[in-house]
Amino acid sequence: MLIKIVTENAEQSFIDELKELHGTKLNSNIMHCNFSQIKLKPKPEKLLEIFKDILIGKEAKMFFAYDGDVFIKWEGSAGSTVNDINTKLSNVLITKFNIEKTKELFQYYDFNVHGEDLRLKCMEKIKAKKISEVARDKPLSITEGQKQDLEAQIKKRPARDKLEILVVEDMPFSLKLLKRALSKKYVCHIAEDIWPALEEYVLHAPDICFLDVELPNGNGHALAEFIQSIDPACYIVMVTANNYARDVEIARKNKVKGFVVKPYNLSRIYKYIDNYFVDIGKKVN
Amino acid sequence: MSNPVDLTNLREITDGDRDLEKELFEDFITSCEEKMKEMEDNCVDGESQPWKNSAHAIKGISMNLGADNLAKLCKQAQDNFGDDMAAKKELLASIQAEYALVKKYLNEL
Repeated sequence: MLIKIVTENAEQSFIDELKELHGTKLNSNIMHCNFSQIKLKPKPEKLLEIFKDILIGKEAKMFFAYDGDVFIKWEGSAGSTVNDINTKLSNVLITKFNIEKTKELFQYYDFNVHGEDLRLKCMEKIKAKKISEVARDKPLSITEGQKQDLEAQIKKRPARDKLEILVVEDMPFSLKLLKRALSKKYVCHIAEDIWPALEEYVLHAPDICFLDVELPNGNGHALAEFIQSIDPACYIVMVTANNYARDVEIARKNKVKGFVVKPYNLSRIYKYIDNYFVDIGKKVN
Repeated sequence: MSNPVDLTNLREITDGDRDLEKELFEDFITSCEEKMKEMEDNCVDGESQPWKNSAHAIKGISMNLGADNLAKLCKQAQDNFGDDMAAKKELLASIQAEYALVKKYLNEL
């Protein structure tokens, strides 16, 4: 295999790789894929499949940063390869991920010209990674500005044409499945972890939130409790693969409106949506 | 012998969209393999939270896929996260074997 994938401590490994390139006369090219800007990110295996077809016969490395960004380094000519990467990756993102604007997602760098810029970029990522690791243990909170945004959204909520639903689920398979079940009839927002979920909540003040109990960097119950404190009229339904009495008890204490045990099932999901309409005194759409 | 996967529930949601199904199966396979690797790395004597979390993650997506036997084995792994290394290895081998059946079934669709 000529393409190597680096996922562990990728930011530092990439900086080390750049150091090694210093003083060599290699023609090294780097493509920075800004996947941190999009919600559903292509997986290493998927990218490897794409790049095997593009970088035929070339030595390459792919560095997967913590935030979803990917740095791809290869030796040799750049011209047609850069165009191939842009075209093929854009096609995949458009067809598989429904992402319309792909133009700004990819940035090409010639190492001999931009090596230092890349190093600085990666140093920034390491700093941000440390901050996010600290934030993992930080109690949930929102800023005064976010509070005002949320209040404005809450006021608009009763007048919306379409129901807005936030789905919080960390496994892409289950997230896509639930999104599919909901997005035909409703506006569906998604988040894969606790802090992005809070950001999405503040941004949209969804009518209903389907919230997974187990999340990578926090607990869904804690998020439910916090949302209840900032939006007492919230309508949260917990989802989980566990059927533990303890979880049901915590959910009740947090005044959530329901508890769905996986598998996701249309009738169970729609039951909670119907209940929501009954709760707010509206007719079912 | 019954199928290792019952797609009735999933297909009610995907509504015959084969492209979406293919994408979902790819996601399922990628996540399962990633989480089984984590279980392998955490096959230790006594309590292991990463083992428990990974088993829980596979259990959730297996339930949503309709791979009930795989989900049951993962529930067992999740509940018995304090077992010794030998018991964990034995259970992981059963999970891997059941997963191989599920993957084969999905690939042959």
